[in-house]
Amino acid sequence: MTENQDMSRDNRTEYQQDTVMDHEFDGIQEFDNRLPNWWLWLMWGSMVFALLYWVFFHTLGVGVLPVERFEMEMQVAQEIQIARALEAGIDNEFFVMMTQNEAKVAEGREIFVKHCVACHLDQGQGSVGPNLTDGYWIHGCEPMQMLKIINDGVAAKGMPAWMNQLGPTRVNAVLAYILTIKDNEVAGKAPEGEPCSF
Amino acid sequence: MTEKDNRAARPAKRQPDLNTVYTINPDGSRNMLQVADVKGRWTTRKYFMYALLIIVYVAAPWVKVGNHPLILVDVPNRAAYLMGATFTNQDFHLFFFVLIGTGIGLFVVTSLFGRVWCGFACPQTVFMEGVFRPIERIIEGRRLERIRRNQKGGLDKTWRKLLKHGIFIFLSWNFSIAFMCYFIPTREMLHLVPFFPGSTTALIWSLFWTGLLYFDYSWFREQTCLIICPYGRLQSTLVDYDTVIIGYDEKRGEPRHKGADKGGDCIDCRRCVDVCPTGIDIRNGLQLECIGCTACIDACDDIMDKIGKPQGLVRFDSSRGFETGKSKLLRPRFFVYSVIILAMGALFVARATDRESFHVTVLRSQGMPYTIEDGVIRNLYTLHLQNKSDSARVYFIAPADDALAGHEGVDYIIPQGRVELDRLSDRQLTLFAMMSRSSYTLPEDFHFAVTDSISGAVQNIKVRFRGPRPARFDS
Repeated sequence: MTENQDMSRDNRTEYQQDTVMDHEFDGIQEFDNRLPNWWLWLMWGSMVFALLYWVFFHTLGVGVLPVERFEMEMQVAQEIQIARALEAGIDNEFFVMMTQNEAKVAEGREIFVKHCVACHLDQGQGSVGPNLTDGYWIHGCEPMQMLKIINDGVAAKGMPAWMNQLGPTRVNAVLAYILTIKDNEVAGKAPEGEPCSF
Repeated sequence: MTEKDNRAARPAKRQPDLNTVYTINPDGSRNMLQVADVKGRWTTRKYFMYALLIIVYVAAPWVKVGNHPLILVDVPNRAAYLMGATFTNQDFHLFFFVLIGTGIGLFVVTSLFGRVWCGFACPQTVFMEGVFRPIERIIEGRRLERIRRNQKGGLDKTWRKLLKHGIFIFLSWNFSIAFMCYFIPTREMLHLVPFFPGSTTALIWSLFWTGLLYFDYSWFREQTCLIICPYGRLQSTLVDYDTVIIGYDEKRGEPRHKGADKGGDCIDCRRCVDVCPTGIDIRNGLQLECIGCTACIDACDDIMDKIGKPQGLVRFDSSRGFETGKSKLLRPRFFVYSVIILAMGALFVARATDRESFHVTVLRSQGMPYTIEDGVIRNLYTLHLQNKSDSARVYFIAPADDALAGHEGVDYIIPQGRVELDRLSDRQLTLFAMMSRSSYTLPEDFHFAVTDSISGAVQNIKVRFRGPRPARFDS
């Protein structure tokens, strides 16, 4: 094909603008034809877009950047969760009532033995995890506050987030059980947090 | 009559040449081609190919292999399915083999036969030549009819254009949904079509793809192949003297001549130019714009039949073939490419079949290397366990060895020793290891074992037990 690209064989016409640019590399030369208009529009359009984007998001700050949008959505999700809990009638009273339900408490005890005793020991007197029976609470002693700790965990202290694994029904049951033992005063780990009574 | 005289006799009309892109006018505006109809053996073969490939391209996400689609990149759920195999985001590195393998595969084919992919199999061509251009042809008529009507204007032009673009938009919309089935599971798609209720994101994507396809097939067309497509622009490095390309037999055709009785076989009828969908003159030799669509072969063969000359003035042959009459198909670069592609294929298959069914990483708890309480050093680890298999699994986590056995008060706490995980799901778990402070000397490694209770596969994860530097080293 290189043999065919002999200049003398080109069908040059008056429509052509081909001016050969005055540089050459290994025999390769470059024409200076006009760029397609769509190409130029794309370039100018991109520049205008970049400018508007910059002003909109970073100069005026009118636009919502992805990170902010993410945080807003997380906020909304949290509110939905709270609303759902309230809708389902879950509040402090709900758990106090649940402690009266022997079957539920027994179920809670079963789950407690299976999952919690590794750190809180059999009577809830605590070893790695705090003593649950001494009336002192690190993160608050209201059932709803305790529920949050069981659901989401305390990663830095090694308390796992149980919501994923147990689901709401079993978490509720285990919390009901904990509420029945919380004033047992079993000798164990030294008290941590604030004394508190609900 | 010389070639120059021949041209001078014609009205001053721009012709395809080697120095400019014919589809771009000198002022930068677009020169829309009006491509002439062509019939012949290659065209027939191509239409069979297009019909087959349209079915394949549209149906691929709907066909099930095992429980999963033949091909699906499930972006929202971070999983991909290919020929019955499941890939998660941890397997993303395998995409490297797919990309390189496809690239080299194209290199092999290109070095042997030029741009057959472009002319026969590329979705751009398949839908352009197999769907959109035939519809345009039906509504607006043959090449000369179209040109005349476009110049004349009027109601006759308007209704045809409106009808054509209406159909184009409708088809683009359908093909955009067909395309999105590669990314959204078809069972979900069935609930989403046609107006994507409840999923604004999907709706915006479908509008975006509809707009892009409509723009591409109604106006942009060959510009995609000429200017956008990276594969097209690599041609000059992939093709060599022995590559089979579509070319013009200069020895036989020149000098061009009106009338079949004298000169070369080319009668300069310009059929090959009129049928070219990218606007080149194949008689100028191999050009970057040529997508190997074979339209000029059929056009020329037809003319040769009519003037009683043998077919094949424009044909598939190598540059060497056109010059010497001899071709050489197998060349060193074919073998080099083949070795690379076989190696890539083997690596991909090996890696894809030898993947672990679950993935474990253990990290030390952030910002707290250890804690000491009542003379006991405690280390807290976070274990991330991911089920990469295609079914729900139960895993057991336990200390794997006696590496710390020489110390006093060694104990492990594994609050979640039994973990159930759904397919492709993952979880963070907490682990403790403990040791008497008096017994601690230096950091030591030990292992946790994670066992898949169904497959029996075990992974031992090395972790390090750390504590305070014993007093006796402080001297």
